[in-house]
Amino acid sequence: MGPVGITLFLVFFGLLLFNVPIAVALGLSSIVTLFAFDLPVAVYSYTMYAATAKFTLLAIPFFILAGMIMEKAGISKRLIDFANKGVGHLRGGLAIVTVITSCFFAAISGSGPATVAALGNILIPAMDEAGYDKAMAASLLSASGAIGIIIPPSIAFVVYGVVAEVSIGKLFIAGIVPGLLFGLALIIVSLFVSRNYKFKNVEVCSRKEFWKSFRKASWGLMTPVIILGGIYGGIFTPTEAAGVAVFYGLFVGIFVYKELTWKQIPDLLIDSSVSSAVVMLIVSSASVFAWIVTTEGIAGNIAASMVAFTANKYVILLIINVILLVAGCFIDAISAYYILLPIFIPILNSVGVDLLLFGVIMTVNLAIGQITPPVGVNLYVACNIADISLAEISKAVVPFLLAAIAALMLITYIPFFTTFLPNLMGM
Amino acid sequence: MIKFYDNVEKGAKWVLVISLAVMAILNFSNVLSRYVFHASLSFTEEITTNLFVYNTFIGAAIAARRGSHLGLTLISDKLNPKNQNHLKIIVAIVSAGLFAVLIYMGTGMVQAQIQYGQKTASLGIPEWWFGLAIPLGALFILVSFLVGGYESLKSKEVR
Repeated sequence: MGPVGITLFLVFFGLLLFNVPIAVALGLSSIVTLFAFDLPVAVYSYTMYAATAKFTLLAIPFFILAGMIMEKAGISKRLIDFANKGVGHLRGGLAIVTVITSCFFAAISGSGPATVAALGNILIPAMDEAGYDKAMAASLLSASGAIGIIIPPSIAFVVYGVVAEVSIGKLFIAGIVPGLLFGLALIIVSLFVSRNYKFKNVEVCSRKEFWKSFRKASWGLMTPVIILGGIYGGIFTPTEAAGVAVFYGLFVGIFVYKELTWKQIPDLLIDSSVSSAVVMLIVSSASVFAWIVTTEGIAGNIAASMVAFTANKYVILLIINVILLVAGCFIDAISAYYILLPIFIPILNSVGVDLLLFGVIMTVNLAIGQITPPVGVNLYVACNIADISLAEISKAVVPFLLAAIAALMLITYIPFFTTFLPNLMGM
Repeated sequence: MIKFYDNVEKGAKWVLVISLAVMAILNFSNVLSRYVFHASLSFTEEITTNLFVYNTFIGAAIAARRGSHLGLTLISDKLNPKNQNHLKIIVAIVSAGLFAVLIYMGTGMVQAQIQYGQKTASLGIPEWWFGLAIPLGALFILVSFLVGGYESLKSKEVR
């Protein structure tokens, strides 16, 4: 790496260490580098504008808004009720319920912290009361919430698709099986962790009650069908699907469940705009950072030296996985795509790794990043809900981290999990 | 001063409400019109993507005051409360610095857009109407970072 690259990365990490927001650290390090090396500074605002005004990225505010609407509409609690009627009576049933509803809610919302927030308020107290350790409950929910960015729709896939120029619809379909695999790993580990807990007995519910809860939850269960069916059937693009999800959620919340009122809408619009802006400000300043990485040949240099080190596809994937896991501890998924993808793509191309498969691998990595301290966003949300400290949850999350890493290895080295659904659908 | 800022923020929140609502409605009507009326409203894309920039920058300003921009608290958590506050102020000023540069460069961009009379491709709206989102948004974010930093300092003093 030449002086330009060193300056860029050193300033970035330096600022990051002093708790400068990631978006600001990305922007400042880019500006400093542009000035210091007499690069075209005017590029900054144009690149920023062009990176933000992208039709595809509109999916971000729309999916965030849709998720918030669905939560206020009362969809999450009906999903939980349905899953609980189905498997709640089993030993460790509530843990299974947590993972299953997270998978469902992941198919409605596209973000990890949003999934934790939507389900945590109900599930963490419920698990606490049923006899689970509170820290275990909170860490299981954080880990399940990470499925939010693997199972479509996913904000992470939208950004990956934009940066790597891969079809977002295809990424969405490819993420389904790996997301379920991730969930399965969490269920197995949670049953193991909770094997000595003393649970209260839960009665098996009647078949009638079960179908009643299914009927109530069916409006929520329809959401993924509409979103994925619409995208796969070529009826609308992922961005349009996000818009459709917003209006579907409004319809269900206001006219079917009648829990949402028009009065609540302005606040939902404000909150989702702010959440989306936090992501988008990172996108806009990261795009300048990525522009420097690419045009200054920093990416090519690193790629060349890495391929010179080893040309073995599997070793390279392992190295990249380790880099991503470490990076995931310090930066969020969105910045990781912009900073690291320009570096990884030439490497992956030279050893012949499919960018669709890699999109899933990288997203699973960054999902794990959401539950690794110190920047595990899901952990913070769960801590707040459960009222425990970051230290407690950091300890309790370890078994789930190991489960997630095991799932990651399976997904990395057995491409079948990722490719089989898109192939089956002829995508 | 803060009171004036509060009023500006209230207005800004309404801009967020309207812009996101318009974006969602246009996006949805495009799907409807394509399947119901068999006509594509391609011009909507131009409005939604450009509104998105305003929505992003205004939203980012409100997030700046709330302190919701993601950062690494690894070291700052280890500091004592007094030093944490000092760090917060420094970070707020450093962040404001970035947006000061952005105001300058965004203004340059808008001037160029006016000078060359650039118009958007399908609606023919002057580009600078949308380009203005950068310098205006950057100004709002700058002030919000400073207000947020000032407030975090004050709230600790009261305690």
